[in-house]
Amino acid sequence: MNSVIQLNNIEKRFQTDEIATQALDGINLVVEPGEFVAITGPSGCGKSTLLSILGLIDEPSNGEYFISGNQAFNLSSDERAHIRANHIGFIFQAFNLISDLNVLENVMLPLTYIGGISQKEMEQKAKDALAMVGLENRINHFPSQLSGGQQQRAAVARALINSPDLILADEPTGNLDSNNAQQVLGLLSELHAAGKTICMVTHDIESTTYASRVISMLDGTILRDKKQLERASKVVGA
Amino acid sequence: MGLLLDFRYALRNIAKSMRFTLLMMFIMVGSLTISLIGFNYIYTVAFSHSQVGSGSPEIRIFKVRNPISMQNRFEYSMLPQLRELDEVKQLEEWLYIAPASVWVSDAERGNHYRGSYVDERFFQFLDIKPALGRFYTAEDFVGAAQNVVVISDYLWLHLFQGSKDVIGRTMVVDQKPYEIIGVMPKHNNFPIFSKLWLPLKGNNTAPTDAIDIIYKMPNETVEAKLEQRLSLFFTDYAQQRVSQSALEVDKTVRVESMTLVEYNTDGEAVFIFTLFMAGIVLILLISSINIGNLLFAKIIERQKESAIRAAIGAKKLRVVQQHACEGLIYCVSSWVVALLLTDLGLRALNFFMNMMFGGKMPYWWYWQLNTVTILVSLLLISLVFAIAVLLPAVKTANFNINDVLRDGTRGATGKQAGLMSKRLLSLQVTLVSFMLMASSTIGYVMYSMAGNIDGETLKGVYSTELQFQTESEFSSDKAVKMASALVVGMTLDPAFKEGRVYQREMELDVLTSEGEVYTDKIINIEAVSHLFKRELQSGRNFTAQDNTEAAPVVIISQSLAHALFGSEEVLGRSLMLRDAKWPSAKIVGIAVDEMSVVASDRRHEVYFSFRQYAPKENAMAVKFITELPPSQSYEAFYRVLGRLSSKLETSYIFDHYDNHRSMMGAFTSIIYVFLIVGGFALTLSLIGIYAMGLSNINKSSYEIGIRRALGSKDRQIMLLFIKKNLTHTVTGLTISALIFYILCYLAVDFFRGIVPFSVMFGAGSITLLLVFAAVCLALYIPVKRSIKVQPAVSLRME
Repeated sequence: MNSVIQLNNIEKRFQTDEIATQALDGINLVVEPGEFVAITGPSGCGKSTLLSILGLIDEPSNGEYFISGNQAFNLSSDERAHIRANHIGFIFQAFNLISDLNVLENVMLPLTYIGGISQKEMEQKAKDALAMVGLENRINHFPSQLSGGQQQRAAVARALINSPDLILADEPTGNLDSNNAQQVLGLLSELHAAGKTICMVTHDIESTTYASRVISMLDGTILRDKKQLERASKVVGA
Repeated sequence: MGLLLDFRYALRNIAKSMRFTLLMMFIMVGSLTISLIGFNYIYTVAFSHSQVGSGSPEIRIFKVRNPISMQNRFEYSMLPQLRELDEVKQLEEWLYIAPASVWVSDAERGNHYRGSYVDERFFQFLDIKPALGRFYTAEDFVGAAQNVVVISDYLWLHLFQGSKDVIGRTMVVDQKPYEIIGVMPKHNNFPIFSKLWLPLKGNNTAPTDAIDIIYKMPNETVEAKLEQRLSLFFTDYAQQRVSQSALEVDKTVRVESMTLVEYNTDGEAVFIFTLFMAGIVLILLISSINIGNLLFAKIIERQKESAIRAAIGAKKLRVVQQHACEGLIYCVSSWVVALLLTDLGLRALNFFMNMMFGGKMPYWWYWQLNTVTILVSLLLISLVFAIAVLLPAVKTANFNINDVLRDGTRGATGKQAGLMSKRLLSLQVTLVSFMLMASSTIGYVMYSMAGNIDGETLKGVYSTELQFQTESEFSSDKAVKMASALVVGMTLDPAFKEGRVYQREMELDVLTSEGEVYTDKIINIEAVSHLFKRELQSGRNFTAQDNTEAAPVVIISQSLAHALFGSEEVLGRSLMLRDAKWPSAKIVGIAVDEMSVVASDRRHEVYFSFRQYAPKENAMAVKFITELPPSQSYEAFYRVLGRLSSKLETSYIFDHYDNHRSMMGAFTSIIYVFLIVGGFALTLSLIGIYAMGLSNINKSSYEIGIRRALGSKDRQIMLLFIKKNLTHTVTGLTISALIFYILCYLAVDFFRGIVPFSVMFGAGSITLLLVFAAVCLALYIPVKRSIKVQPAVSLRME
C-alpha cells in the first residue's frame, strides 16, 4: 500500500532583501493512510511552512514530495490546484470561509472546482457534510451569523466534501474557546476513526493527545517523531 | 455550472457595493457614450455621404491636381472625348454635374442658392424617389424643352411653406422661368449642399463650364487605371491651352479619385478622421485605465478570498473567471445604457446642429444610431473589457496563496501589484494631462482667433470672383480696365461704402536678403488696382503709371519689412521673388501693420500692382462694403456689374459677416466640446486618483494607526502619504509636459508662425498647473479623511 505522504529531504528558504531564513532543513517524512499526525513545536520552527508545502500552497526550495505515490513537486499551478481540489481538504485557524457566500455555498465550493457534478448533487453532498458536523439547520446562514465554533465546523464540512485522501488542519482550534475546540477535535477524531488521514499543526499539547503520531519540530528540522495510543475515538465514544 | 455560480456571486457583489457599482457605471457609460457620439459625429461628417441608396457602392469624385496651370476642373467641352475613353466606358455608373451658384428671385426679392446642373442619369444614379412630383426624363434634356427644376426639401419649406401644390408652379432662376416638377427627399442635397437641380444641356451650359465627374467605385484596379488614363487625358488637354513657359515646369497633371469629403478637404478627410478618432480612443483609454484601477483595487481587497478559493482547488483560470464575471456584468450593462444615451445624444445633436447651421450643412450630416456605430460600440466595450477587466483579473491572479492566507490583504497586495496600480496611475495622469494641454491650447488659439476679429467691422462686407467668359477675351489691359471701371462704378453708387478689385492666390515665394525662401510666417499676397488705397507708414500707393509694363513696384507691410531688412531703410530697395513674373520688385510703400487674427500678431502683407502681376487665368476677385441688407447688397452689385461693357460671370457672393457668425458658432461649439470632453476626462481621472488614494490609505490604515500611536503628528502623516502618491502623478505630469512641449516646438514650423511657441507654451503650462492642483486636491482629501479616525480604530481595522 502506498503512503499518503512521502517527503524526501525537503528544504525551504525565505530570502528577503538582506536576510535569508532556513524554514525547513532536510525534512524526511512518511505518513501512512489512516494516520492522525500532529505537528507541534515553538513559533517559527517551520510547522506551518511544512503544512503549506504538504497542502501544495507553497513550494519547497529543494527535495521531493509524493502524495499517494504520485509526484507532487515541480508541478504547474493548475496541476497543483487539481490535486488540492481532488485529494486534499484544508482546515484553517481563521476558518477562511467566504463572507459573501452562505454556509451551503461555502461547503460546496470545492466541488465547483472539480467540475462535472450537477448542482443538485453538489447541494446534497454539502447538506450531508453539514449534517455530519451538526450544521444542517444553518445552511442558509452567512459566516458572520455563526459562532466561531460553528464556522470552524462548517470549514471542516468544506474540507470533507471532496472525500480527500488527506486532511490538513492548521491550528484548527487556535481561534476557539475550549468547548468549541473540544467539538472540533472530536470531529477530527471521528474522521480519523473513519479512516481519514489527517495532518494537524498545533502548539497546544492537549490537542496532540487526539493524534496517533506526534512530530515535534525545532529550527526547521524534525526533533522527535513518536507514535502514541489513540485517544480520540475514546473521547468521542465517551 | 461554475460560470453560472460565478455570475450569481458577481451579481450579489454588485448589489452589495452599490456605490462602487454606480461609480463604475458612471465612468463606463459616460466614456462610452462620449466616444460613440464622437465617433458617430465624425463618421457621419466624413464618410456617410456614400450611403446614398441602400447597399450601393461608394460614391467617388475626381479631383485634378494641375501644377502647371490654374485649370484644375474638367470642362463641359471635354465630355465627348471623355465618353469615348475605354476606361470610362467600363464604368457601370457615372455622371457629370456642373456646380453653380444661382439667383432665385420673385418680383420683390432674390437670393443666392447653391445648385447643380445635372445629367439625365442623376436620379437613377442616386437610386431615390421624389418626395413630391417627378424627376427628369429624357425629354427634359432636349434643347427646346421647357425649363424644369427639382427643388430641395429646404427650398420647398422655405420658399413654398411645404405646399403640396408646388408642382407645376414657376420659379425664376437666373432671370429665367423654370417649372417645378419635383421635390427631393429630406436630407438630400447631393453632391454636397445643392438646393436645386437643373438639367445640364447645351443651351444652358458654356463649353468652358467646370463639371465634376462622379461615379460609383467598381474596384481598386479599375479605379487606378481610370486615374492614370484620365491624368494623361487631362495633361494632353491642358498642354494644348497653356503657354510654352508653363510647360517647362517639370510636373504633370494628376487626376485622383476621392470621396466627396476628401474632395472638400483636399484629401485630408482621412487624416482629420484619424486625428479625431485618436482623441476618442484616448478618452476611452483614460477611462479604461480608471476602471481597471478601480477594479484592480477591488480585486486586491478580495485577494484573501481568491487565495481561499485557490487553496481549496480553484485553478488560475477559475480565479480570473470569478473576477471577470463581475467586470463583464459592468461592461454589458454599461454598453446597453450607453447605446440608449448615444441614441438620445445623437437626436439632441441633430436638433442642435440644425438650429445652428440650418440649410448650410452637407446633406449627409444627419446623425443617428446606425449599424456601424453599434459595431464600433461592441469593439470599444471589448477594448474596455480587455484593458479594464481582463488585465487586472489576470495580473492579480498571480499571487502566492501561502503569503496571502498568512498575511491577509496586507501581504496580498504585494509590491508588484501595488507597483502596477501606481504605474497605471502615472499613465492615466500622462494621458489626461496631455489631452487637456492639447485641447486647451487648441481652444485658446481658436478663442484668440475669434476674439481678434471684430465681427462688427465685417458687417456689410462681401466678396466674389468675376470670370471673363473666354480666356481670349481676357487680357491684362482689359482686366485693368474692367477692374478700374468696376471700382469707379461702385465708388459712384451711393449703395457702396467701398469697392475693391484684386487678384489673390498668387503662387510665388518671397526671398530673404540671403536668397532663402522666407518661411517664418505666412505672407498675404495680393495684386490690387491703382484705385486701392492702403494706409501707409511711408512711401506711396500705386498710381495709374504702375498699371503699365513699367518697372515692377511693390508695397509691403511694416512687419515684413522688419523681418526681411531689420531696422535698415527699406523704401527703394528690391523685394526678391521666386516663381514670380519678375525676379524682384522695387518697394515703394510701407503699409501700416494690420493685426493677424491669431494672438494679436502682426500680419505680413505684400501688394503688387494689378497690371504688373496680372493673373494667368481669366478671373479677378472683388470685395465691397455696403450698409444694406444682404439681398439688396447683391442687387446693387449686379446693377453696377450690368453697366460694364463685357459680360462677366460671378461666383457665389461670400457674406463675410454671415461667415464670421457661422465661424464664431463653430468655434464656440468646438470650444464647448473641448470643455465638455476635457472636463469629463479630468473628472474621470480625478475620480480614479481619488479612489486610488483612498485605496492606498485604506491599505495603510494600520500603519497610520501605529505611527499615530507612536506620536506622529497629523501633518507629518499627511505629508508622508501625499508624497507617496504624488511621486507617480508628478511622473505622469512631467512625461506629458515633455511630450507636449516637444510637439509644440515642432508645430511652430508647421504653422509657419501663425501660432507662436509662447502661446502654446503658456496655454499648456497653465493647464498643467491646474491639473496639478486638481490632482493634489484629489490626493489630499482621502488623507485628510483618514487622520480624522482615532488611532485605536485604525489599529482595530487590521
